Amino acid sequence: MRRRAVGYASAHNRQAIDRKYQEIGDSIAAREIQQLHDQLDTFKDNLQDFARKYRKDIRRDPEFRMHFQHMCTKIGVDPLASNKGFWADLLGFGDFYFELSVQITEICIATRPQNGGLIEIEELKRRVKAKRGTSKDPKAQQQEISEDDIVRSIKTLKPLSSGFEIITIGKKRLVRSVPKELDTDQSSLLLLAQTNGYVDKSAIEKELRWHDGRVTRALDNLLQDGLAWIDCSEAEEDRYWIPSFYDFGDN
Amino acid sequence: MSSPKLNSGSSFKFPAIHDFPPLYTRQPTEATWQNQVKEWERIILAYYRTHRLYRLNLVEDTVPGASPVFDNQRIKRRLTFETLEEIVNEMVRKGTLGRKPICVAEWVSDTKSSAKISHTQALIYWRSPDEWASLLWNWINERGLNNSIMTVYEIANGELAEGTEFYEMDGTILMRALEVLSAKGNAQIFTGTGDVDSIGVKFFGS
Repeated sequence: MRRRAVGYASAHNRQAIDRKYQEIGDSIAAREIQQLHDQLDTFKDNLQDFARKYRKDIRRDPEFRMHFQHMCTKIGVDPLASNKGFWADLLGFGDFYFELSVQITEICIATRPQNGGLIEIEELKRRVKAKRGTSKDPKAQQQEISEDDIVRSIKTLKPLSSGFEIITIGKKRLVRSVPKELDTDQSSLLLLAQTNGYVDKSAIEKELRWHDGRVTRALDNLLQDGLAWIDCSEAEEDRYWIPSFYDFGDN
Repeated sequence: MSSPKLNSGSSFKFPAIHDFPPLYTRQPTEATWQNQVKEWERIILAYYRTHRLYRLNLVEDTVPGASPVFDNQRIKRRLTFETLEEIVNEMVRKGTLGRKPICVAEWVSDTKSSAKISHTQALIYWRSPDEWASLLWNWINERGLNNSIMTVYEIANGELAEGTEFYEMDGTILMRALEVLSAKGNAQIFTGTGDVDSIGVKFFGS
């Protein structure tokens, strides 16, 4: 077995070899990066072609739109990022989500006195649809809106510190349009109310095992924030209805 | 409530909130209460418009089973006299607020029990006096009734009025509309000694 060389010459030699490796490595990496760039550019080109080709479908079909959005996000293209530029011009996306977020804001504010600033996304979607149905713009009338579009629009409102937030209670997704956070007791009551649309004291005591003072305080908080309406009737115990969970249908 | 003559066949569909049980309990939170009043106002005006009703009798209409508006038997909830009085009060107050107040209701003062205004009956304006006035004025001009003198009874119940929006309308509300025309200089009212029906009105040229 040959002994490993020691001394200046050998060290020098090793450095030279390392350098060589490094150079080769760099050039391979550079080539690969270049290749990747090329691929990405091709992909972007294709994506643009795709977008151009399926423009109508992207605008009309909310599911298609969602998949397209996912695809864009994955390669670092955000059609929403700017109202100017290729994507916005091509798809009119900036305008689309901007318009949608204005409609969402209007609905949230208009229904606030009724629901205390808490509305189910499903209900919000229905109202947005009704609103767009009366729009003068025939394009807006045709466009289908999905929950994903609504969530996206609300995200575009973030930089304006709108205080709009999407929260999940049990199985329901809701939009909170008042900057006041729900405290944990309120959230627990809202979760409990999902079954019947209301809560009453005996149900709370049975399910949550709170003492009387805590129950009263939590219910009063719900009333004060406009998140619950009280219902006193002769036959039954007082009920606290959550308007956000009530189907007002045509209202 | 008097039985409707026109549109009597039209059925009224209550909005979904009419079946929301807490709508019948006076809400303790001010913002919610204001919204509750607004919802009731909307329901009352729509119902009264559909059935062409003009007067709300608070006592009679809040008796169990008396009115489908205030007694919702489907969900077994009923508005009490006290809450309805508060609601009508808010509606009346609305006609005095802001730069352009909208008149939707007015308490009827009971002249017999002269003491204070008794809150037992209210006029419901599903059209404001201004709207009624312009409706009347258009009709006068269309029919060429300018410069003629008519009684209040004739205007609302005469043959000419048949088929119009104001046929068989409430005399007091009609008077409010005529007062609007009079104030504009479009009509002159001759108050006689008799009741509202026999009051004469002269309409001027357009």
